[in-house]
Amino acid sequence: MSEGRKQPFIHPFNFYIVTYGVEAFHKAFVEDRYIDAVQNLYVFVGWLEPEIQERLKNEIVELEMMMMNPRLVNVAKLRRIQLKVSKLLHEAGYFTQAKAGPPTRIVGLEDMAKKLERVKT
Amino acid sequence: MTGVERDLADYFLDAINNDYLITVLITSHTQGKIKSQNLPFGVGKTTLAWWLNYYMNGRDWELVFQRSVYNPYDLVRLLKPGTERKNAATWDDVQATAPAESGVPRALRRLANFLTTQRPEVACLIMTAPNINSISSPLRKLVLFEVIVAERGKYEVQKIVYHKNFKRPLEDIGRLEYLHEGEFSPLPEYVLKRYQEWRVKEKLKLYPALETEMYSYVKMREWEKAENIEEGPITLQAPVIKAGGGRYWVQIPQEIGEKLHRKKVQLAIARA
Repeated sequence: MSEGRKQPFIHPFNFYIVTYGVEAFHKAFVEDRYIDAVQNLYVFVGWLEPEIQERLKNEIVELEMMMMNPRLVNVAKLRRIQLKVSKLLHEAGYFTQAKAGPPTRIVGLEDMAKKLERVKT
Repeated sequence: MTGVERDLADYFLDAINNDYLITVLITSHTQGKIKSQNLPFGVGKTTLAWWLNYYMNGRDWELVFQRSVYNPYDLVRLLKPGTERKNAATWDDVQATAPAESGVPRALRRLANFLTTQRPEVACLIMTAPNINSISSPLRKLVLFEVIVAERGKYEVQKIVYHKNFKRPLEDIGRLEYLHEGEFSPLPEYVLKRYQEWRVKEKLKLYPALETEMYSYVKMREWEKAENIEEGPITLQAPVIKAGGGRYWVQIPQEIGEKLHRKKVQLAIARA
């Protein structure tokens, strides 16, 4: 099944964030491919909105340094940057829609039974 | 009534009063909005199905029993064209007699087609199964509402809706649309007792065929172990079929037939 078929009504930017930001970083991280994770995060951050990039400017420099010198790659540092990116995305409201479930509506069997008294038997 | 205010009862009323067919599947081995126990059996799917049937059939338990079936043959008999229109009918444990499997039997495909043309005979068909994926594909496609029993006495109603996939116009995308949730009580003690007896009786109808099939299966496995026919004869039960031209065939399992094809065998025949 193609990606487009799975996610037809999700805005392309949210789709990009989830697929190329969250999923790709997650996969590289859990597979201990930290250099890949750094590269992925660096490219990903470059596509975020300018306000978020501005607030991540120190982290972008850190990512650049790690890319130039892989010996600087550090799990704790990577984790700290990931948490900050996640926090900014949540603050910007990118996951708001996903977090909001449908409002609860209670219609019990007794309520339905009252309506069904009107049926022709 | 239009829009999101509609609940399942409104759809039932429409079906009964305006000649629609509504097909509902009650499941439990899944989760929607409410945190579910995710248990396949014993959560109360049939209880809810029978309550719905009861309220739609004028609160008459006798009618509920008359209009509840356990196998597709009885369903077809219940919905015989020309019989009086039933507000609701229940098909319990669909996965037992119409399970999901590759290569859907022709009879089930025909049944699904038949149901779509049976609006005059039934308004609401309520089926139960652990999960929507456990029933045969043609029946799955008829389901308009999935009612998930999250735990004993708690349910939620999800409407199955289809959206156009504009990139692939021939492949609509199915989605669940939450309608509402609610609670239901256990069946009255005397109905429960009668239901349990009914269920045993219904399961016994299927038992002889299952027993025969299991017998052949076990014998076939023994046959596989004893590859060489010299190791001794096997005994199995098999149907005798009229083949035309005054000839009759004994139908034996494929696995055995493949090994004996174009060979001569010795048969000792006895009535089963």
